[in-house]
Amino acid sequence: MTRVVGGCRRSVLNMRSGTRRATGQLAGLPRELLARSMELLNMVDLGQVCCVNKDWRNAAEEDAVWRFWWARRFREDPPPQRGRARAGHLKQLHRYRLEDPLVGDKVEVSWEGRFRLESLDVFVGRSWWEATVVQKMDGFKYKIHYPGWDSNWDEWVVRDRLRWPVDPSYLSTTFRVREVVEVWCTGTHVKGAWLQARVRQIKQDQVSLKNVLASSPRTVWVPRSKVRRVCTGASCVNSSSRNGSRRRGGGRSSKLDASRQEALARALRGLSAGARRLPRAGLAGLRGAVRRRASLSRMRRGGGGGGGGGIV
Amino acid sequence: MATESGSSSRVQKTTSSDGAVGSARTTRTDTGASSSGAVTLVSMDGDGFVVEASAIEVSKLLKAMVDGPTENAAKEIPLTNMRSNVVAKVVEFCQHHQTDPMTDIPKPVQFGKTVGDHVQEWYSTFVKALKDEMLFEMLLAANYLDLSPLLELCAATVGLRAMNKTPEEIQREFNIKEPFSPEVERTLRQENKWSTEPPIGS
Repeated sequence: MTRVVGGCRRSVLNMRSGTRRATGQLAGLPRELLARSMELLNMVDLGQVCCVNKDWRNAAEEDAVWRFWWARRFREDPPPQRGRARAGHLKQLHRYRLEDPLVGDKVEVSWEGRFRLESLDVFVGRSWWEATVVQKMDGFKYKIHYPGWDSNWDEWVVRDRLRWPVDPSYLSTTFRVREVVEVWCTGTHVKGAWLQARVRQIKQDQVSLKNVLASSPRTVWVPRSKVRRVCTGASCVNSSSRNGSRRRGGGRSSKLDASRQEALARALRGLSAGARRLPRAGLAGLRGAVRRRASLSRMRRGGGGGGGGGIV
Repeated sequence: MATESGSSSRVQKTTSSDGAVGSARTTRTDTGASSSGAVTLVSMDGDGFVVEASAIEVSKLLKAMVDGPTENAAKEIPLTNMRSNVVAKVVEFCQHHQTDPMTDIPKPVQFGKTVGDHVQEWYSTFVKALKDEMLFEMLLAANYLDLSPLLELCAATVGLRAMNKTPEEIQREFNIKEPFSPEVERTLRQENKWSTEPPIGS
């Protein structure tokens, strides 16, 4: 019953792939098993795993891993087939597909500034609006339509203002004070948007968000269930260093950087004009009417009712 | 005599009487196994593990062997590529799976979630008890036996250890030798930037 440990381990390995070195270490798993382990990671992690070493990169670029992501995002269009696909082919296709949305794709468009839904409260900050690409132009310009909104809100935007709807696996329900979260603002008759905000305070199931409204008090309390945090993974720790280069076509630089974001928000807070989605009557008349003790929940019910300020 | 080391499975505990040192084969009988549908799994060390045929049906390979037209009377399945403690763990897993099937682990797993958030407690403690080396062999065994719940559980455990980590942290976590040279790594990071910025752009 005595046996050589090294010898037996090698034979276990041999049943899968004889050529592998018998390290017995998790990192040295056969590629298909390593790829299998990575299948439940999301793209942020896959991007990190690629940089670990050669074996891990090969596993993380297996088509099996990326086929899952393709099916998840682009359910309607199956990946283009090629006769002889090289390693990492599907990953590369996925990247191109993400970087350049097609007509009909559902995306989200950012809007930095003020906006207002059915109630009289004016939100301020960076918000993400659901949209559909309806037309495309060279140079990564897209004409987008906001579902539920009149077509005269359609506009041409550059690639940098678009993002894909956040995959549920990136979302976290846990967050801390000072972290940037997104809160869902909505009206009764119109679709709302995800508004980015910083957490000021957390009390049980209520969260206080900083600088959400255009007029004081700018802080509001919202139920925790309406707040979410988008996780960007370990990579976002040194996001400032990643701000330098831009993807092709993008005219403006990324606004991912938190400090830049804040600076922008600060600048915007100072502005009195530049409101979007405001009734043609203008801001001036509105500002006085904004209720002081506004809360998002009340707003959601549509304080202004159906006639709420002539949006759409 | 290193066979018994590091394994504390239920199967072996129930057979404390087998102290036959030096015997070429020790057959371990589990309490649940009846004589009728019993199958003996023989490890590479020559140890036999008697299990109910219905319990190992979760493994497609073993099921095919048990159901095969050329049924061997002894119903012995040699697993010449697995050590005794691996077979013991596999048997333990199969027996529990029969009574309480493992819940599926969603794909992809949400940020910050662990295996324990998705599977029953028994499974999370089962997989937590496995050392790295054991986990490695279990993965190979599960793959070989086409034992999908066990494969899923072990693969998820390995995968989640890489979650939410930078490449350096992963290298440390898995004790990875032969990393990329700094220049290559820089290029790769640049190349993969699109996937590490999910909220904007991708």
